Amino acid sequence: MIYPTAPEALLEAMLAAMLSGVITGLLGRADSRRMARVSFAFSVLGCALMAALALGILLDGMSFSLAAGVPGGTSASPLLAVSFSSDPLSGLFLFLLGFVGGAISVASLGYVDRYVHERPATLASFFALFLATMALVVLAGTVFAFLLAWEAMTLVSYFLVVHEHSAWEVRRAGLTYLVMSHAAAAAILVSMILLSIGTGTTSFAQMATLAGGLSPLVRDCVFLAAVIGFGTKAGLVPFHIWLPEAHPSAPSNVSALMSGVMIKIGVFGVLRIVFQVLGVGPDWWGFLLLALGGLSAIVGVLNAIAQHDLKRLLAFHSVENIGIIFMGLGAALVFLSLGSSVLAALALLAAVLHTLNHGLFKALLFLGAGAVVGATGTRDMEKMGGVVRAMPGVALGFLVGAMAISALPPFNGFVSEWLLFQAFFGAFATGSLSTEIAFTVAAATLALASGLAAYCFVKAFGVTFLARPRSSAAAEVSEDAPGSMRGGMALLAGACLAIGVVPSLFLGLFEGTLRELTGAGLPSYSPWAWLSSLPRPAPGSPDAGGTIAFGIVAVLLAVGIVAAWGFRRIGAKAPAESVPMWDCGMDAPSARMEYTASGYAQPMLRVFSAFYRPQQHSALTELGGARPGVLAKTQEFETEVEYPLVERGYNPLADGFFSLARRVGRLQSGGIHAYLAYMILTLVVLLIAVRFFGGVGP
Amino acid sequence: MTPLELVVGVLLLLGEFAVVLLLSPLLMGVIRRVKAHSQRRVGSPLLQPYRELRKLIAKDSLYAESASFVTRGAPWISFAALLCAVPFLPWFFLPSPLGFAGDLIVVVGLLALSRFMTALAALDAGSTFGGMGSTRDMWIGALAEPTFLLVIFAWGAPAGSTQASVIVAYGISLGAAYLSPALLIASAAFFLVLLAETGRLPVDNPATHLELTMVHEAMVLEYSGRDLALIEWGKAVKFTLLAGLFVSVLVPWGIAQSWGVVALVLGLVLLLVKLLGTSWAIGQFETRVAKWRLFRLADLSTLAAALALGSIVLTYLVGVGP
Repeated sequence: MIYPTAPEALLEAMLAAMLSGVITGLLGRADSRRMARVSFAFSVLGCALMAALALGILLDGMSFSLAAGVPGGTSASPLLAVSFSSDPLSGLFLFLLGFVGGAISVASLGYVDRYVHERPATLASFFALFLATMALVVLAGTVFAFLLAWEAMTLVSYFLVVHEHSAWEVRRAGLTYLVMSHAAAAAILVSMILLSIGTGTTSFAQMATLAGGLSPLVRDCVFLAAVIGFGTKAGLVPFHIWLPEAHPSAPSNVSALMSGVMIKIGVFGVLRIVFQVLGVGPDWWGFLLLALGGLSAIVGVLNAIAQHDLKRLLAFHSVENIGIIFMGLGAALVFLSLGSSVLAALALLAAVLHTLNHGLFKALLFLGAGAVVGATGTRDMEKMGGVVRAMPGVALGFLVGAMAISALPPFNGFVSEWLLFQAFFGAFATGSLSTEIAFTVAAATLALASGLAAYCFVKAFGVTFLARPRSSAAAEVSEDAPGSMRGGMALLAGACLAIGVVPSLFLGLFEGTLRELTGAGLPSYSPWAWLSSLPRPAPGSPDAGGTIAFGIVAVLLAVGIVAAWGFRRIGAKAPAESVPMWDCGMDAPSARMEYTASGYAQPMLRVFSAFYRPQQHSALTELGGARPGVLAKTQEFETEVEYPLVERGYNPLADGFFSLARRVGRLQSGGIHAYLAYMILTLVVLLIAVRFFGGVGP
Repeated sequence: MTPLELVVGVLLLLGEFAVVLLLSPLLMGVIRRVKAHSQRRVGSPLLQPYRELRKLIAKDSLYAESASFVTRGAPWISFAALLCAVPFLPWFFLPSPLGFAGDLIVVVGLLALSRFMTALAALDAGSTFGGMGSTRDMWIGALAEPTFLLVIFAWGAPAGSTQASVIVAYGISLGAAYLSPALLIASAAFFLVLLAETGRLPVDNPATHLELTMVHEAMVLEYSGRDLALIEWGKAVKFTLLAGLFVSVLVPWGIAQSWGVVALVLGLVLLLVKLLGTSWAIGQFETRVAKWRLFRLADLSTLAAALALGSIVLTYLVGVGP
């Protein structure tokens, strides 16, 4: 591939497009739909340029490095050095951002036009800014540039979360998000300052060569701080509590962007700081990530099953999938510490491919959910149903997303989970008993998570789209989502299918990242689509592991479907007839007798009652009469599940902070003389501190 | 590869499909017959499942008014997913022409795809029974899936592969030493997975007439005609797939390792014997157990997972095997 332009020009064009999007969104009135459309069009353009730049970096060997000096001389303030540069890792995440962000921008054209009623132009403006800040985070080459872009990304996304801020829950979700994000930013700051002090540089590239010389204690601290900080952004259990609040509150195109791309920036951070800068560590690093990942996968999917708010359900699935990604990262770290870089590359490939895959199908699902929520005016699945007839396009897109996230062939989720299973199976080649047992348990955890995800998505798709409408709002839905929205969804669905059928065509995107982070390249594969196979590269034995040709599986499936369809059609007597549903010989069942989302989840709630601790309340008002307890007039029954982590973990912590704040607040007496006294006291303390602990510098 | 080999390979591939498709209703008939016999009944003829299929094929399909494209498409996709797994499993010869294209993890994925489509279709019409069957079936499947994966790891770890053909070839090459305690324990765990996945007692009663206790039957209440034929046939095919995997891994001997005529015929006959034997054993087993309460099945799946994990620990802790 020969690019006609220099990468710098592409980068500048991309940023200019995004900036135009920001400005056009702010030019007109806040409720101008036309300005919103123009602004989203600029976002589409910017994302296309971003994807082109990413492909140039990944496949064409483009690279650039832009350094900005700080006014007043960089030598005096090396901490403030700013530079943006490209490497395969940033190219990979730039591609994710460009492709998924582009598809969401296309869908936003129609989504915001029809379903967002408050200040669409402002939303479009912040949307473009959000895309640009995320691009700057992945391109940042120094600590200061990274933190600056990171903070901008967090603040912009906060404003997007609280876009519909007239509702109290939205403001509360926004506050939770803001507080958790800043706690995360503090942890990231700690890890980066430790690194900068230890290595004496703020450039990530130079840190990577020097970080090996740090003491093990410092390296452990950097690792833990990075996992806490980036894990919070990614939504890793137990730092995930902001995610199920913030994602449902935001407009759905923003949820798609946050869940599809932004939480992946947390994964990017772990790759940057842990894999690239710190490099090989003790094996407990990997086992810690593996354990947290497994915990997130199970906690995420179990919580998702209990939800009947469609967007909250999807948000919990993001926790699950981040867990799967972190399981892959943990496995890669373990393999690195055992010295088998080939297996580490396989595990890392599974993790980064799943990162891309989750970006695709989760954005698709959130867009589908956004269309249904916009059309019915509710997020409650119990009030949906039967939407498939009015919105077949959205339903089909959501179905593809649901099958992909449930790891069903021939979609992309299955490819990355298959690779991860193979990586876990690779433990048997290491000869380390603890690794074998741990990875076997991890594989079972992954299988349980994907089985439960399938359960959850049969429920989500079935209750939302199928059967008869459960409310008048659902019955009144009359038209499919706008064409641009279906177009954006089709882009994502097509990518899900393409990666599922011919994954080997896309593996080239990952090669540079794998080489840089593990030292080993891709497992062997044949480039031709329908002969592709991905054998596990087991050291020593050529035919070990598993091979697969996803293309052949897909062709066999297609042939089977055609054959079964022919069996169904050829020689059939009459065209299929529509008849009333079978009613068991009773009265025709009404929509109220359909299985509900809560009813669907009930077997899980019962088996995992130790996890959910379901609370049941029932109330009975009696008709009275001679024999009480026989005739009921009305009966109510409700059940709810607990969130012990929030109720017993975070809430006491927040209460503690509030009471501390009240105590500190007493210092603020309001009198000038008191404040002057504080200032003098501080000065004295600082002078003493300099006298005793200073001595650095002239 | 010479043209002759190519032709023979294609023929053998088609032979695998034909064996599974044509044999599967017979196995259902055998199970029913064995059950009837041990209950001192005459029972229906061995070929009754074929007649039922012929009857359903001759009938028209009816759909509920509230049903969407999901109801119409699910039976084909579900059936195709099951057929797709055929070349990835060991039948009467090795290696299968397409055996390289998928391993046992793909088989798990294809079974999940088949179940996903059936469970969605059950929700489509909006019948209460459909929802009931759907949630139960997905629930059983979700609990069986981790055990299936553990069993694959337990079977595959000594052979170093998740490919069914490699595992079986390894077993044949090892001789009697292959039948280690670890293999037997893992196979016992797989037997429980087989019962759960194919809806046999004590998990689901395929002969029930009471809607409230149904799992699979409740899901297909809305289907008729050829769609129902595909679903019933699919159920038989699914049983054949899992039973075939079970006997091929447990007793791999007899599977042809060359494309010689004698070896192939011998392999085919032995496959028939193994499958009929398994069906007979399932029939005997079903006579002796009652259907369990739905929520007790969680105990069964925990037991199965524990067995599978125990097998892996045994392999690597005690060092049984090569």
